[in-house]
Amino acid sequence: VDPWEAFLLAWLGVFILATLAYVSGEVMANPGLSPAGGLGVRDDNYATPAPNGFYQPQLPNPEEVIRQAHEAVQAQQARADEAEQADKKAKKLLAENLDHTQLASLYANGYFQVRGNRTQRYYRIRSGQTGNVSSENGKRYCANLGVYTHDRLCAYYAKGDVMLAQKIMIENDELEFLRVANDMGEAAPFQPE
Amino acid sequence: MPIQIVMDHTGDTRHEFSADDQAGIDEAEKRFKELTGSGFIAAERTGPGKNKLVRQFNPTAEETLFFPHLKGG
Repeated sequence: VDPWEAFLLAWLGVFILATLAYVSGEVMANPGLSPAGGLGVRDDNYATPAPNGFYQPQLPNPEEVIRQAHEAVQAQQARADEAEQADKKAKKLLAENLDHTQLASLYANGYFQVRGNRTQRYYRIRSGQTGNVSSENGKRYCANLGVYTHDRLCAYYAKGDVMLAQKIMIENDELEFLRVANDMGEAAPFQPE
Repeated sequence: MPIQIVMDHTGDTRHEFSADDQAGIDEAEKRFKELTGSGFIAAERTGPGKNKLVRQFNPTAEETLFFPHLKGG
């Protein structure tokens, strides 16, 4: 054997053994180090070794998971019930504030017609909250009652409430409505009924 | 009996008061000022399908509706 080859092989062996010793020492000294996550990554799911010596993930208590899921479903159901009640009340309030023609049109066609106090133009307010207003000259508008803080919707208003607010504003302060509403582009022009 | 209807996330909340009860009128006026001061718009119902925007409390109004300002959405 070439002495230089023997020398290099010996150093390579020493290097490999030293690396293995270092790695095993780190793992033993830090039980929280995850074999799956790699060295230096703390993973509490692997904090306690199983009796067989392997680190096993500690799964959440199944009963706790079921309880939390049950609570989440109940909360979602409560919110849905509340929204349904709000929708019913808003529909009733809207119906109380429409005349017979508007109410009949809403039930028959899904929209009612109002007249702007400034331009005397007619608008159709369709059942909806977003982009549900169109004018006789073929423009579509979006004006809503939702209150946003930054990017989060923090107050919800039912559809009927939004439609009623749109109606009152167009009939009494059309310019303010047009000022705040987003122009949603073109809609089909219509003949006032 | 006069009524104030405030739109909210439950649909609306209704507050009735008697035109003969000064305490009730005072409370209704206070509510009117608080709501309009915090950005609500007040509209009186004047007939079937008719409303008008108001900026002053009117104790004789049969029905006053309060709703928030519309916003482009």
